[in-house]
Amino acid sequence: MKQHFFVFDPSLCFGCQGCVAACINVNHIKGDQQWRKVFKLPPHHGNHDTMYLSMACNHCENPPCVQACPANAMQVRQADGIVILDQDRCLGCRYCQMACPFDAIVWMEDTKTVGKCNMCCERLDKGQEPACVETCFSGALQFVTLETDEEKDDWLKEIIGFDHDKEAKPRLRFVKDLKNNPSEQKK
Amino acid sequence: MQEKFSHAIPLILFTTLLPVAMGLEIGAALAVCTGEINTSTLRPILYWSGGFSILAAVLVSLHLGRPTKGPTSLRGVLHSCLSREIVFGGCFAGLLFVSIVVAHTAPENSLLTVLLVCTGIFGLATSFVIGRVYDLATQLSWRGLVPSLGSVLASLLTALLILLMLNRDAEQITSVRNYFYLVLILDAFFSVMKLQNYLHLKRNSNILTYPRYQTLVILCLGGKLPLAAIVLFVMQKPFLITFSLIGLLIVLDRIAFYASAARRTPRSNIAGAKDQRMQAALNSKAND
Repeated sequence: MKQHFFVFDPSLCFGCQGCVAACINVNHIKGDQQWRKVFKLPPHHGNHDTMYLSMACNHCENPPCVQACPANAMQVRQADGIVILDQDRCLGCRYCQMACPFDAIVWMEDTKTVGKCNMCCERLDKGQEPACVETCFSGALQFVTLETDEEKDDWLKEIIGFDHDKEAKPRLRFVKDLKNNPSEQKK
Repeated sequence: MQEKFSHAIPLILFTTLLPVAMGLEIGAALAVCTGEINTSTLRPILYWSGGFSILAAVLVSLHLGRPTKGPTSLRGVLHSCLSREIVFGGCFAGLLFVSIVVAHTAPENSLLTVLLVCTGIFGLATSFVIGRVYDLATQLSWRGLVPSLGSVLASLLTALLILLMLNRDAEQITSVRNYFYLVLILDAFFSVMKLQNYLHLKRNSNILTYPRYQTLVILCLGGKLPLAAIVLFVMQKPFLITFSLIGLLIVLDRIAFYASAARRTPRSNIAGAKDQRMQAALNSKAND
């Protein structure tokens, strides 16, 4: 099965929030219901610049939200492993929010359901990239499709401020050859 | 996750009322099995159990964004604990309704005993599953068996209290009272464990979902201990006083349970990493 990954390079991101704005525009969501968020990372050794982390749903390999959802509103797309949410089925119990280790599921007050990144699966089906990736002009946020499991180890799984959940196995990776590699501090 | 604690209020009331309703039914079922109850006493207990169950169902629907979509919650029964809770709870409510009907139409029929026992088993199973629903890998304060057993202990305390009220045999009263003391002491012991766990988590306040309610959690868990002691002293007093105190004990447990929610999120990880960095910088400056 092919798998899609978000690959992020914190040394290139300067926190413009363009990815957040693109996500809001494409998915027609309100500004306070961000599916993608930009976090300010703690300072790293040898680097006094502020560093950022852009993160949305990580479309985990073993998604806890899918396990938790009583209505089967959260489902894994068999073709590529994207975790999609069927809002028509959602009853708004917010149990998935409790189960998500990444706080990636958002309460949508207007629809009284939860909402989350669907990796722009409709755009993917048309051969386009997710809106956030397409908008990121610094190249910090990238999108990669892998066919084999071996290729997954070409990137870092965690940096300071982002712990890789071994049970959920999030599909978010970080570039190894960062200018000021935050993982050096992690070690 | 929703940061407003008010969202948890319907859940606090639900997880208080439903175990009490189940406890009432289990107590009645045990009394029927030991022959300590007649139909005229049984019926009101079943009515109260049914009333509490209906109230609990109404209250729990208030926390749903779309209560009309409630029936869809059975789709995930193969993998979701929440679905299983609804299935067990539904079976309990259905059997309870049939028991009430049979208690009216054929009170002397042995079918009533079988029905009451089956309802009680489903009640106990539901109480257990209510706790297991929250045993999520992400929820640091709710992991494990101890937090899961809160609803079961609530049901058992209510059931034993009902049995004490109905029993007339002095020897049986002593043995039921001993069981009641045992469950009460177990509940108090678990409260101490939960308090210890919470104080451990509290040191890293970034992970608390409701950091403003730290004092409330400590007061509720700490307050359960003197309250349990008071229950021991008022056991001989009218049933209603002991029942109200047990109810208060359960409410305090549920408030503490929901208010003690703690989990690691990207935001808490980043805040934690910042704190570590700050501490390391201060330490190195102090060493220089």
